[in-house]
Amino acid sequence: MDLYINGTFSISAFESLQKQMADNTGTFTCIEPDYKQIIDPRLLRRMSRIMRMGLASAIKTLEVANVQTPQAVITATGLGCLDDTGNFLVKMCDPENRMMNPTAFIQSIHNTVGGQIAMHLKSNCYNNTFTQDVLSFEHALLDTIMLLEEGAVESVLLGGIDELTELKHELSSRLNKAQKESAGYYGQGEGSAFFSISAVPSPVKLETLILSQDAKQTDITDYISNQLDLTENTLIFTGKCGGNRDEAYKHIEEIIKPTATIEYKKYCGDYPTSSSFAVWLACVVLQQKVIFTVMPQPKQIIIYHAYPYRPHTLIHLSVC
Amino acid sequence: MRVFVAGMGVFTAIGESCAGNMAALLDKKHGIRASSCEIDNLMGDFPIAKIPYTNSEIAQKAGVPPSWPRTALLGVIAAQEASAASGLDFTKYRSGFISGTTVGGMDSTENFFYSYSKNKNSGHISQIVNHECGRISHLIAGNIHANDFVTTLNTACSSAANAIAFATRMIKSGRLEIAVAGGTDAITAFTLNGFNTLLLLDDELCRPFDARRKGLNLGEGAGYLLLVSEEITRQNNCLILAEVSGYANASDSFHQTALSDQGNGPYLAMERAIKMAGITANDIGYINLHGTATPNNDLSEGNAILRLFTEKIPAVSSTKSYTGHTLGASGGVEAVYSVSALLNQTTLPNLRFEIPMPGTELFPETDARNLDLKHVLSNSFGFGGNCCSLLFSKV
Amino acid sequence: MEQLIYNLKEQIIERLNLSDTKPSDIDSDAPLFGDGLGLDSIDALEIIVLLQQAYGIKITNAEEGKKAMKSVKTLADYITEKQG
Repeated sequence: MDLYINGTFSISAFESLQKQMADNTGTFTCIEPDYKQIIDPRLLRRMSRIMRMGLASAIKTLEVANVQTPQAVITATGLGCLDDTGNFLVKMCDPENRMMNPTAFIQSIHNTVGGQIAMHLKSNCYNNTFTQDVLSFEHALLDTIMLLEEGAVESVLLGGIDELTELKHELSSRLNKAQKESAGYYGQGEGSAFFSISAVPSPVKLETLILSQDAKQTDITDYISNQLDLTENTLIFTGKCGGNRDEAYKHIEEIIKPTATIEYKKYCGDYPTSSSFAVWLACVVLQQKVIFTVMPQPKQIIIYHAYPYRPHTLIHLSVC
Repeated sequence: MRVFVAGMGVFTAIGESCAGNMAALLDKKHGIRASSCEIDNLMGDFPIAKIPYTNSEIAQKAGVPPSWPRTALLGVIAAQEASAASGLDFTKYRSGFISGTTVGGMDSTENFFYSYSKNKNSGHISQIVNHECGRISHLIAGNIHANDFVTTLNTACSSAANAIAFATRMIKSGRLEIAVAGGTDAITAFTLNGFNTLLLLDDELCRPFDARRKGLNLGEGAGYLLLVSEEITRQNNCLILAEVSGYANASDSFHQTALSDQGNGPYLAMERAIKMAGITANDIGYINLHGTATPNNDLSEGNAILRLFTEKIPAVSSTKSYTGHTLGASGGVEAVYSVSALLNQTTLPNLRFEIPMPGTELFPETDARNLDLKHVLSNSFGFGGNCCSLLFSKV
Repeated sequence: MEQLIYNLKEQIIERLNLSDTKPSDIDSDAPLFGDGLGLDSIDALEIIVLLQQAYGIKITNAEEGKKAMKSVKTLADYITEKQG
């Protein structure tokens, strides 16, 4: 079954191709829209940042795709609603001031954004939330493809969302230090990217998703070596995040050597569902809304995502 | 491609195996106890269904490090039982582990925060490395050698049911041949305090579907099914316990923490699951209810049942009256119970039910009763209006 | 009583994220739910928990809770009565 991305919207740290580094705190923070233009202000009052980013991206994506109500809403998040989780946890553990509030608990659950979208759409749609670390978005994309292939639904709204909070930044920095993270790390990021996907033809075609099943990543290297024509105006996005974790990409470098390559995390930072940002960037690049001089008119983009000790993933998109 | 249940594992406050749980269910022995001495930092005193073993004791039983979060420890016991039953060598097939959880490694994270909240530089950072829900699945999958595909769903209290549905689809599409699917959740101060702020906890033993119900009791546990493709069961002569004949997920789209009074989401989830199996509502013999015992859930679920089963209302009961609400694990625990009911051709009692909810006249089973069961439903509904029904059929 | 009413307004504003509202904007007698401040069931929950945490008062009866939470004034009366 041929599947297409009919619309996409993202809230991220991405400003332009010229700006490719973290801000002065060493992190990538989203540039957020005026939510009052997108979401009912009465709803905004109680919404955390991740909810605003997710719901706003979802609404805008459906607008772009001209879809009223998708039959499935599938979200991915590596760490869930961190701000509300941290909020509740900090108050709970503070013996002096144990003013935990119910809203923080309600909204700490990973499927908060997905549930909120379904409620906004007043839809009885299929609703699922995947959380598998750096693979969360790929797994949600797999569910999307399966649902459409099964013929269970005709259109799916898919999104990846993660938020960066001060607490997360502080604790991750401590953790990275403890795990002897080397210099060169691009920095932690955050973002929200949503997609409307169906079999209705659109300029951007979703060719393949591969989740490798073995430590040597054979499925992926086979696909790149035998089924792809890299001479065909190809752009490769790698999920390198700077530093020693990038050793996971070593084995692939020989195979892709002559192909134009972009390290997309220089624009959005490192976060569990960052490959959703990569898919968004690929969509706008394939549609010539953003142009990389190394490959001004790509016909296809390969997103390759690898972390040590995790299955690697490949997403292949092309322009029709 | 048909998908069969070829093994099961369950670990709750009423037992550490399928046999143990079933014996307690039939003997009407619940596992809900006073909480006060068990959990630090709880405001208020509520009964809970906590498994009466320490983390080290469970780790020793499972042969894994005691530093694992409790959610992973509970899960690995149930996952080991589910995978051992069939004797299949997972490494020979495309084998996956698909699990639901809501708290992940929160118990360990809480320990970190008790120190951290006093002094920002204190706390062992290693206590938060397994915080993420996905880490729990990663740990368990490695232990049972189901590594080809590992994922985690967190849709609140319907997580494990959605995991079983997703795993079934992974096998149907040929992407996996074997999957261990279900869920696990430990009791944490986070969830206890959370449900307390929502005023959803009963300070006495919960009474699902009773007119006087006041709220839920939290529980902990894990439940997993071993799902195997038709082809692999045939090749290996596996003992088949049941078929996963239907499943459906539907959004209620009413409120963040409450279901619509008419139970639109629950109705659609059950209706779609029944339709998928190609049977009618009259064919359902027993429903293992979500039945949390909150005023809202039981009314909504009850109304959905009355609307869907217009000719004949099946036997129904909520086993949360034994295990408490095991949150992200409940869909897995109750899938095991539903298949057990089918295998034993018996209904499972609903404890402490006396008076039906006004306007519904629904009478849950109060005793184990022998019935000719061919199809049973298992309901799980979560925050965000996430409703999932699973349908198991006798083979 | 005036002080209690003022404190309550401040606490409600903070707790419910009514960021564009000042204590003086809230009419002590205006309904909190529905037309007045436009609060909903989750806000009600927040206020109940606020009473528990800040004033040590537990609302167990739903009817009593509804009456108490009509307006800021009724809420203040309820607290005074309970603290007696």
